[in-house]
Formats: sequence, C-alpha cells, structure tokens
Amino acid sequence: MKVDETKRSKAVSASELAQMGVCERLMVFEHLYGKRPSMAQRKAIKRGLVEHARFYQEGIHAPAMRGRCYIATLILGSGHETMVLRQFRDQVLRPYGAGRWTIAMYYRTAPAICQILNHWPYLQPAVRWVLRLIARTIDCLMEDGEGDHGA
Amino acid sequence: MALDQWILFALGAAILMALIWWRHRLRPGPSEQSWLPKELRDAELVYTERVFRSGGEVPIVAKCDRAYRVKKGEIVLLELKTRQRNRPYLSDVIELSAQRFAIQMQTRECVAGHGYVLIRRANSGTQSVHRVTLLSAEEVIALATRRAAIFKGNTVARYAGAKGLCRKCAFASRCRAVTDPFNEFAG
Repeated sequence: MKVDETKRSKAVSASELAQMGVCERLMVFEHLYGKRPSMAQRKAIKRGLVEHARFYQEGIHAPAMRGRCYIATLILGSGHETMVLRQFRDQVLRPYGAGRWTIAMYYRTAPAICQILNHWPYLQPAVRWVLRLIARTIDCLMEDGEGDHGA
Repeated sequence: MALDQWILFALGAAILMALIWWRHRLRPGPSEQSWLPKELRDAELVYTERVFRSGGEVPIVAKCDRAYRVKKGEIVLLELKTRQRNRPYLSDVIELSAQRFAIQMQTRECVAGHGYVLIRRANSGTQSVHRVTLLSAEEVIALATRRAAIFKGNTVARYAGAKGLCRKCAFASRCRAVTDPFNEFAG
C-alpha cells in the first residue's frame, strides 16, 4: 500500500509535463514560489474550467456517446455478453453502410426502449433471455469465423 | 423628436441590445457534427474526462478530455483548449502525447499517433479543430526524465522559446537575474 502511495506521489501529470513545452524556467519558478497568474490569466483559467464543464456535459449527452450499448448494458450489465454484442457492432456492422444505418437506428430508438424497460421491469427477464440467446449465437459464429481465418 | 423621446428611444435600444447579447451568450455552441473531424464523425466516444495512470518506472497521470474509437479500432484523442489564438502549441502536443502514453499503458489499447486540439476562441466563441502528430512513448519518457533531472538540479532549465511569454511572466525580472533558478534556490 505504501509503495503504491509513493508511486502515486512521484507520478507526473500530463499538464505538468505539458508545461515543459511552455517554459522550463517558469515551471521551476512556479515549483519554488507557487503559481502567480495575472488577472487576465486567472480569468482565462476560470473560463477554461467553465468551458471544460460544458464540454463534458455535451459529451455525455451527445449522440456520440455511442460506446454505450444501452439495452444490453441495462439488461445484462457490462459482462461478457455485452462485450460480444459490442464486438459484433464494431467488427461486423460498422464497416458497412447498412450496418452503420442499423447502428444509428438502434441508438435513436434504444433510449426510449430503455425507458419502457425501466417503467415495466417485468419485461426485462424476457428481453434478457432474447439478448442472451443472440449474444451466444453471435459469440459462437464469431469464434467459428476466427477459427476459419486461423486455418 | 423631443429630448425625452430620444432618451426613451436610446434606453429601449440599449435594453434590446442587452437582450440580444444575453441570448447570444446563452445559446448553446454549434452541434458536434459541425466541428468534429471527418475521422471522428462516425466514431464511438469511449472516454470523457477520465483519468489514466501509466505505472512503471516513469509514472504519468493523465486526464483525457475525450477519446474516440474509430472504425479501425484504435483510439483517437481530442483535447479542448480555450484561447484567443487559433493555433495548437507544443504544450498541447505534449499533453496529448502524455495522455496517449498513460492510456496505452493502463488499458493496453492502441492509441493513434495523431490527435486533435479543439480550440474555442475566447471572445467569438468560434471553434476549430487542429490535427497534431503526437510524440512517441520514448519521447514522453525522455521529457519526464528531463523534468525529474531539472528538479534534482542535474540539468539546467531552458528559457521559453517564445519571447512573448516572458513579457507576461510574473517571474521575468527574477528569471533574468539568475542563471539556474533551481540551484540558486537550493544553494
């Protein structure tokens, strides 16, 4: 545990390292005497923090948060079956136009389906059974595919 | 028109201008699709504001603003900067490279050798994306090692590349007076 803490304290952050690209001497002075930002710099830092918070909110609400396999994550959690479905999406569907269209349609409808499943939880076991069946079939097919490539 | 009417007109115009400005400030930024590079438009956003640790001999901690997984399967990094000048700096490249190093070491995933710097202009609110080539893992380690050597007093810190930085620097006069700031203090 102690070793971990020492390692953590020794770790250098990306922004500290980036400071070397600005001025190494400023980096040393700030280390010795603390940061002394001007009024304008302070304002810029504040503005940057606000923009970053906004950017984060945009990110989590944007449709680009495509990594989430909404229904599968809700029903199956983040286990192996969800990973299989994600692999199927990225390796089989995404390379093709029709596949990308399917993904887009899925992400358009999935949040509403999740709301329905949350509202009527007794529907979840049936959906879970179907999703597990699909995931296992895909898993078997993908394994076979990899085996064929290997041979 | 009488003077009081002019005053009322000016007051009304001022209120209208203030309302327009206020609405403009509240208006959300342009949609992501308008500024996202073509490569990232169909990519999957996998990490936002997530911290990674590299571990190893030279531990690096990095918080990435956004990381996208592109069709090829590799991860492409994007860093947000708010500034007046619409250009990426060396510090942006170093920051993204350190993020790349930390993500690769922690997750063992393949991170692209290039990244993007999204610059939001402070006054106009316009934003543009710049593609930058990142440093290799060896170069990042070398930088971290150099930093450690500077703080140990084994290497002398270099001056800023841009003279404009010195004009705004709070330590400018002290900096001119000493050759090696670290050893001056240590001695």
